[in-house]
Amino acid sequence: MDILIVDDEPFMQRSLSFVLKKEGFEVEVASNGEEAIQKARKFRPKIIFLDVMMPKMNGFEVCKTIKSDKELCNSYVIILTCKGQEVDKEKGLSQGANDFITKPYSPKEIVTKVRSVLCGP
Amino acid sequence: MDHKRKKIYLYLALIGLIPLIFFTGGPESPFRFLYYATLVLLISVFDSKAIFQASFTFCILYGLMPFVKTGKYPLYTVAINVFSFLLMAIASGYLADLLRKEGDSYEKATDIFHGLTNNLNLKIMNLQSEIDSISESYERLQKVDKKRIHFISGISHELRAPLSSIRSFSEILINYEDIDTVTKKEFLYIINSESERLTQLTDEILDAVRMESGKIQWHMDSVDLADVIRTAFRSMIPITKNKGLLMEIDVPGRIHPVRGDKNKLLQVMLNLISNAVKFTPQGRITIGAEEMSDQIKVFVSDTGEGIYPEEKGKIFEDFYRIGDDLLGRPKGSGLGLSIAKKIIDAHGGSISVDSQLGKGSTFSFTLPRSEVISSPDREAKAVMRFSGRQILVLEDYVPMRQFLRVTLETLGYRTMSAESVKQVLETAGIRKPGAILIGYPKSEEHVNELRILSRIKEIPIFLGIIINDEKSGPQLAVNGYISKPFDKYQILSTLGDVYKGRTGKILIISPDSEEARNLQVFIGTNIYETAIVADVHAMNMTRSLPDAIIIGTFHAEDMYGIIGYLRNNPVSRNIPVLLILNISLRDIKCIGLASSGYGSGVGKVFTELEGDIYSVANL
Repeated sequence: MDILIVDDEPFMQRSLSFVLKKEGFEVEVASNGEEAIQKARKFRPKIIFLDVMMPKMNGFEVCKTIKSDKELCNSYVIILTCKGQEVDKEKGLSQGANDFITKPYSPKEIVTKVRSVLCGP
Repeated sequence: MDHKRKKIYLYLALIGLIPLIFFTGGPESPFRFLYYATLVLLISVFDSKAIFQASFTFCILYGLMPFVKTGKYPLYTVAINVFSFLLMAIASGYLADLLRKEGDSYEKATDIFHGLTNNLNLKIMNLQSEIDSISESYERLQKVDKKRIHFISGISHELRAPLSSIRSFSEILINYEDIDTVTKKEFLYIINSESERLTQLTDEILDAVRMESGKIQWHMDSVDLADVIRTAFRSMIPITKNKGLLMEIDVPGRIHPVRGDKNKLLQVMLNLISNAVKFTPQGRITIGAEEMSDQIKVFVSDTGEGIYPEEKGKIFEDFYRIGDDLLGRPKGSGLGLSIAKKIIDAHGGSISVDSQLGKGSTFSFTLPRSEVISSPDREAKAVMRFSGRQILVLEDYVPMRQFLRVTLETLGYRTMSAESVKQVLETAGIRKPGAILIGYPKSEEHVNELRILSRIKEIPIFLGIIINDEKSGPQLAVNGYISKPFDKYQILSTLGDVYKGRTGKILIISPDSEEARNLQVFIGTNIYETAIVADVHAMNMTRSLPDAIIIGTFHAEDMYGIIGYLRNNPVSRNIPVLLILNISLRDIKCIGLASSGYGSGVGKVFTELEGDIYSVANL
């Protein structure tokens, strides 16, 4: 499986998954941290998009769990942050995140990023 | 040792020495010098000519004593003896005087020094308190600034989510052409609803900002809260039904009306109910009202999730939402409750929450019951009541001070009063007033201290010359002010404002002929015809009426008397009156300037005060 999208906002899930599916990638979605880890174990995605602000378990915690799991740590984790919250980047990096995308983002930007990760530069 | 005892000891020593000297050999007595020394001390310590004279007489007698006693001394010896005694007495007197003077000037210097030190201490204390108040206002400003920054970052955060959706879906629609109609519709629907959310958000933000700066328009009227509750109930039924919640209404048959803005109170109700719906997964919502002794209590209670005790204080803050930011939050701007609180605060009421985790919450607010306002002035009723902040009335003319207070209180304001600037400073230090209203100001110096206070403590200063019109109650007394030092432009433009004619007769009433002549020069003689009288009774109103009257600097009592006379006299009632103020109007707002003029009811004019008190109260 290619991509797992983790976001509690249904509209964000919908737009991201629509675009990526349209571009021919296999996509799964999760609405919270626990579901994200479950699905990551089940589908072994190559890329995980992680929203920071989520109920129960936030994006950083999910990232930490994934990166400390031997089987999952090879997934490429992209954290979705908000503009103006640069502190999040440092926090994300320390938890092992691979990349960041700042909201509001354009779907094109996402597609380009996914292509470069999956197909190599 | 006290002064009196010292004196007694010295006198005893002196008296004791006299027989001692007498019996121990007269001129050759070894106690002679001790005697002089005591004398010097006595005279120098106590400025007494009597002592000096007494010892002088004693010296002469004593000088003669040996001669009288034995008769064996030749005359020249006696003469030398007397002479030496005299010389010693004079010398010791002179010495004593010198010593005393020295002591006096030392004392004077000490006095001056003490005075200076006290003065300096006072100044240091003043300075210290000034520093304190400056740092206090600096801290407050910092807090305000922090709040602003928090508010702005809150806004940008809230706007981002709907903007993100709109951007993503519109880009998808632009970039991909082969989307089926159903999906296209779905995306357009999302864009539409997200832009609606954006609109609602901006409305709320605007509301909050307006309320923060006190620029909101209030439409105060008598409001039946039962009516508001029923309206809110009706409009929320679809939403509660949709979520499968039960909603009940519990309002007593008749409740007292309150003074308020009906739409704003409805907004509060709708907000509280929609919050209850949001946090109640299942169960019941009860809304209602309760009559209390002098206020009405309105409540919205639910059987929802409840609130953590530590959150109770914060939920009324801007952008605060239940639940940690990182752990997700419900939709909404986070401004609803803070706006509700501002609305209720502005009505002189209070809002609070009572909650038990897992069992539900009850939000309630109280509003003061409206009392019947006895004033016949209809405009007065439009003035709302502000709790907490008071208006400080400064006027040293007692009847006027009383009158101003009564007028303000009839209009629903709370007042304090002061008769001097010093008292204002003291009062403001203990309890910060919402505004200061000055009657007739005395002098520039007198007002300057108020300006400083106003700037440091952010208390607006108003000036209002108000009199009691026998016919129509409290009225603005004059049509405009001319401030000192005179400024030709200000005088002419003020005159132009109140008197529309291009030429005309201006009457100057002033007890100070120099002031009157000065003013005459400023007004100029070629446009206006001017006449000067010293007292209002000197003007002959039956013969020819002036087109405008300027009143010079009088004592407060006389000034009010003159204006009262002019305004209550049908002949002069409608002549525009300008008043010369002994001060410049820097930092001072005049309520009711030329345009409102005489005859505009005081109620309307005082609404100007309101905006400022409100914004001060909300800093």
